[in-house]
Amino acid sequence: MIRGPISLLIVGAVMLCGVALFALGPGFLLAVLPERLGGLLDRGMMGSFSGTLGTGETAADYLNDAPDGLKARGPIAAMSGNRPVFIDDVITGYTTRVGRDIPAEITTIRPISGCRLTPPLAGTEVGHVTAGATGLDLALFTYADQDLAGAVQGLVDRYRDRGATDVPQPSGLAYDAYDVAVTETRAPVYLVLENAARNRIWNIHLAPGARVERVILLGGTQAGVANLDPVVPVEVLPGAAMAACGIEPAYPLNPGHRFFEVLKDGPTTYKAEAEAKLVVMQDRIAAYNTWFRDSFGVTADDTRAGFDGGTISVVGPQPGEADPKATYAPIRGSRIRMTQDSYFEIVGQAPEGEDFASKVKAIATTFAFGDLKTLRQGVAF
Amino acid sequence: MLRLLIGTGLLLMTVGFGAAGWQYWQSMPKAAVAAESPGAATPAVVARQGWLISPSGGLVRQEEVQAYLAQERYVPARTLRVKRQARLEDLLAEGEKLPEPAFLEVLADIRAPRVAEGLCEVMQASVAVGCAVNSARVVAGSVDPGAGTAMFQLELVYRLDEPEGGLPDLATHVLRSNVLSLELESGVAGAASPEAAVQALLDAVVAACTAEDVGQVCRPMQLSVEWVPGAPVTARAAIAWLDPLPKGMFVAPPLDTATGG
Repeated sequence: MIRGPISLLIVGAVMLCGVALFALGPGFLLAVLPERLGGLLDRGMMGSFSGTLGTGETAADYLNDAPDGLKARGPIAAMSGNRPVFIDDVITGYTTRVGRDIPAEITTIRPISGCRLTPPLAGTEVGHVTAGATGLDLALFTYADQDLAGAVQGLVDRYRDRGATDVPQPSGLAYDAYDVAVTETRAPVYLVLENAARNRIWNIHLAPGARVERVILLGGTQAGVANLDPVVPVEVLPGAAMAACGIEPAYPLNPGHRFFEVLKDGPTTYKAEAEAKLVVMQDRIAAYNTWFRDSFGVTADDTRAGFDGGTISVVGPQPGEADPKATYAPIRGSRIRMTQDSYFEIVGQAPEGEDFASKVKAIATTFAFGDLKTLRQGVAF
Repeated sequence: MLRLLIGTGLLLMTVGFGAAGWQYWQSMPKAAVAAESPGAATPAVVARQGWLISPSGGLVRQEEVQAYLAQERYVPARTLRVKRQARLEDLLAEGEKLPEPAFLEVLADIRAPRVAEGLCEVMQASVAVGCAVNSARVVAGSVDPGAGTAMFQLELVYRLDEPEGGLPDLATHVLRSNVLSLELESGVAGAASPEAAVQALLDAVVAACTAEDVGQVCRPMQLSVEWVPGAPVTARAAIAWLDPLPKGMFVAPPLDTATGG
């Protein structure tokens, strides 16, 4: 009699793992597996399990010109002009297992006031990196009263719906990591790191001899930089501030983007609309290029290094066989300078009763006059 | 490709093991299943005709039949819906202060049942023998931090008394219905508060139910009131009653399996 439910439990667990792998991708597997096994998979998995477009011998074989942007489908990094390169050819010790990394020191910085950023000095190389969400969530997250209020409302809805009092880990509040390998050693590098995700930590990995003059963090909500010499200045202009300054990042779409499918083969009405949009898009791209050139001395679209889906970009040339590669610098034990919202938390390190979930429960309980049972509604028909 | 493969596998597993699980639970003794699912309220069983005839000779929708006939319990289709504005400070306990603006909406949502207080008393003082708040929620995006107000959507369910001597023979009557609309200018007595507006609507229902052209056992079915201070009140009431079968109409009851066969 007992074997039936146990079998069902085993089958359920297997299916749950399958669903999680299907929905969350290989990153989920890497996060939960023991470190040694995860490390093995981390090095082999990206190439062997991912869809390649050719033989898999060149980096371009792992770059997918997808309808929603350029996506890295294997162990590749983006170089200037969005040329793909194998990660192993530019950095040693690379890993995407950062979910449990805790930095040694965190310094809070503030965004700049106004719209003018310090321009690069003469003789410096400008490295321009762009990145969307990577899914490499760190154990660091930040939030505001609005996020707490949203979570309280979520708790209230779940309690009313099924009596559940759990508060899930908030999604979208964690900083996600993006790696920048600096292989430029001939001149100091002025880094412009442009974020299309919400909260971002840029992790800098230098090749021996590489120097960083200044770091500019553009876009997103909260941003920070890890493994950067404390003497290097960092300037932050978040997405909302960029919009207030009239700066709207815009780049040409990849050839395989669905927009061009509509433009080529779509119904006549859609085509006309798409053509009008293309004109607007080109104007925006030109305007952003102008602002970028005025601010940093180079155009945005030519210098861009960063696919719409990827985890690492390279600033500088691809090291030759004799040249030293960048060395991976882990988030664990690093120094981070970052902007933060009203509250900042490291997963598992908040004092008891002061973590996100406890705050949400405490607010809900206070509003419910000390008893969550008062939230219950509904008549039994 | 990998995701497609995993997805197909999961789909097949879901179908296969879902069927196995279903068979497993089906194979459990019924008494055991019943014992494992406590709390299932057993509604009072009332023996009565379960259908009503519309004036055109068709069958009345079941939810309307329940709303009209099932007065021994609450039913989802017999409701009083009130959309009203309220001051956020009215939600606070003594000595309590309003939270930061970000929390006002969720505070209002949690404490929305407070603004429904008093409405059941009005219902029970007039037509209802039982009344309960089924749901009380803040209207999303309606909080005005400057004015300190929010809109609330309240739903109450109620029960009515059975007529003395019981219902007439339902098989020889049709269910008729009508909708009353009420508009009260601000400043009149019925617009002073949501409770007053509900009372005004119930008075209109009682008056409509005693009109000459209304038949037996006239009952309110769905009531709604929208109240904002200083604005005209709009209210609606659906009422239903029984009239004798029109001449020339004969009843063919629903075809059910014959008892014992």
